[in-house]
Amino acid sequence: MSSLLSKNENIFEVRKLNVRFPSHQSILGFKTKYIEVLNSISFDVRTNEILGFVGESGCGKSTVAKSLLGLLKFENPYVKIDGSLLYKGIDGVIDILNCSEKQLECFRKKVQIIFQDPVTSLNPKFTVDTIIKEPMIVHKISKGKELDERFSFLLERVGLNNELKNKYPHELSGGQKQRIMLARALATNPSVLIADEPLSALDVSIQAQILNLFVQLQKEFKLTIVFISHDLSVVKYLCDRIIVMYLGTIVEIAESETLYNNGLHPYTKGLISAVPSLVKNDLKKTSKWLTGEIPSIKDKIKGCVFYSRCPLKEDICKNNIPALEKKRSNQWVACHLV
Amino acid sequence: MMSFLLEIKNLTVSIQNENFYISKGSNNLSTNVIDNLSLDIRAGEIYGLVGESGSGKTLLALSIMRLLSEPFIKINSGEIFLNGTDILKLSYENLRKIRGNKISIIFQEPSSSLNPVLKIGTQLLEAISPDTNTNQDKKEYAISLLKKVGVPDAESRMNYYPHQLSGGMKQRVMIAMAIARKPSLIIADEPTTALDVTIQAEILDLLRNLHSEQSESSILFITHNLAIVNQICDTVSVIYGGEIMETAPRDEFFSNPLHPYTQGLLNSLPDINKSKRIKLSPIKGTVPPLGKFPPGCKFADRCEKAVSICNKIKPENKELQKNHFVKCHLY
Repeated sequence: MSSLLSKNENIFEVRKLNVRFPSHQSILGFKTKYIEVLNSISFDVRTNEILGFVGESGCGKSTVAKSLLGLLKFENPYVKIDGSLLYKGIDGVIDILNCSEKQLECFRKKVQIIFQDPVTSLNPKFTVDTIIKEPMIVHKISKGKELDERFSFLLERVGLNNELKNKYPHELSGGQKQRIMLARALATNPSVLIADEPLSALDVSIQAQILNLFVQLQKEFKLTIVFISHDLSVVKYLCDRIIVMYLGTIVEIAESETLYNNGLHPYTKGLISAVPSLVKNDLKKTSKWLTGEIPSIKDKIKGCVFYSRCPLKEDICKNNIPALEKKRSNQWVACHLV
Repeated sequence: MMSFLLEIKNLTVSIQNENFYISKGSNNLSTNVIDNLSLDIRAGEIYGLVGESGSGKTLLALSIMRLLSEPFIKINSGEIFLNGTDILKLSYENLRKIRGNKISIIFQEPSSSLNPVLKIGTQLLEAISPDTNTNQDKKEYAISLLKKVGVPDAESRMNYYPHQLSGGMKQRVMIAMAIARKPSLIIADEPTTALDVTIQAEILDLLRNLHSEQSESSILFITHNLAIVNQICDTVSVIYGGEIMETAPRDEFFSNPLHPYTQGLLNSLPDINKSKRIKLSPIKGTVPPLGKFPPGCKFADRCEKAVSICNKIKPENKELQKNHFVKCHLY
């Protein structure tokens, strides 16, 4: 496979993305109130990297995944999105927020998703055969004998046996279902795979198998992976770069080793201090870094979003929003005090 | 002599096959979910029980509380001694005196374990001993409990409904209810699984503090997360297919794991303190469905080190080092 893009060129460029969901809509559509789910976030996804998103639940990780896929407006037609979201594929740039049907179809082929719960994302009335072949038929990737060959190839690549061909999802175990999801995603020969908590429904021993599969397939298919997870140990293991999110904003972007050893944002430090480890049993009070509860996203926060929980807060933080600034090479932090 | 708070001896719990009325003449109408399990918890320790889903962790917790949905899941044989009394032989009346008083339980999902139509104050008062004097005293005690578990603004929170609280706060309320009558054993069944990692750290911290305040009581901490066990427990057991595979004191367990299943689990976990991309070596295969376990060692068909005897004969539980028990033919 020859990639025209040199390594580290961006495949996604997100600039000042704002996503607002409606809440409390009156019948005629007047007086709609909006909740800011993503608040002016900017980041790049580089070609062939594994980019991780971490943060507590409700911080907007999944919304990022859905906006990268351009799925938000289908899910809720009243959602307000502004900013720019560019996909820079081999065959040209696609502006995901305003593009034609045809461009979108091409984009869908190149960017695939794996959802959290394999049970609800596989059609219970389809056999494995139909599930994996469907995207190839829809996108006219192959047909006839070639289709069968590619089907067997994909099954083998995700470590499954051809005997599963005529099984229905309920006959498969959780790990097998997640492998089927991977095979279906790879069927269209995508360049980007977006994985939204793909491991959280799996047991420890199966989780490791799927994790190894991710590493192997990323190399083999030259994939760019956007990996969303709440499990920081997994994200550290898998990802090259990590984006830490808090309440709809990005607080830190860094390479994974840097983030874990020299994270700069107080929230990053707090989050990492809270992860239990197998090697050390010194889980300390996280209250050193995190105090209080997460504020609701309905609250209008004027300054730094982390103000209410930050141990280092100063007056400047209350009313001024810190910008995401480059503090070291490959490390961007949004904090007034760093 | 060692004093055990809870002793479980040869407990077997079985589940009725869902199709037992259509099974073709076979006598196997039930499958053992917990198989001849023995376990001892000392007074004052935090005992960690680790296992994958379907290994029987929760059923064990429910058996101790006698909350199994009989007759479909029932205890076939065995004894459970709490301070010398066999819980399984107690009448319903006597059982009520034990639940909450001597043993209490914290469930995994706080949102589904609290009653959504009652204020948390009401639910908390319900859990407090009926013989504690006046209503005013009870209320004060309830507020002090909420303060103890770190619910801010406890007086006004008494009037909140569960949906007005966050997950972490709900779990704190559950813990307050569990410790209300100072039970000698608290069963915590995956108490942090539904919570964020930061809230999880706070809850673990809380449990540890409460435990150090009441050093006579024990906690049976059930989880699938070995890293949590490493933070909080004194003794660790690994359960697989309804059998305890290995039991050891915490430090011994993590520095010298002996059972291949334990080793497999430890090798398949990425860790925040390990450097990146050390290849994980997962356990091969998947947990077999109920009733499909090998007749010998239950782990035999997934074990890297299995020899021919493993598939046929059940291994004995051997004490290899002091307090370190392993059920494996290799030793």
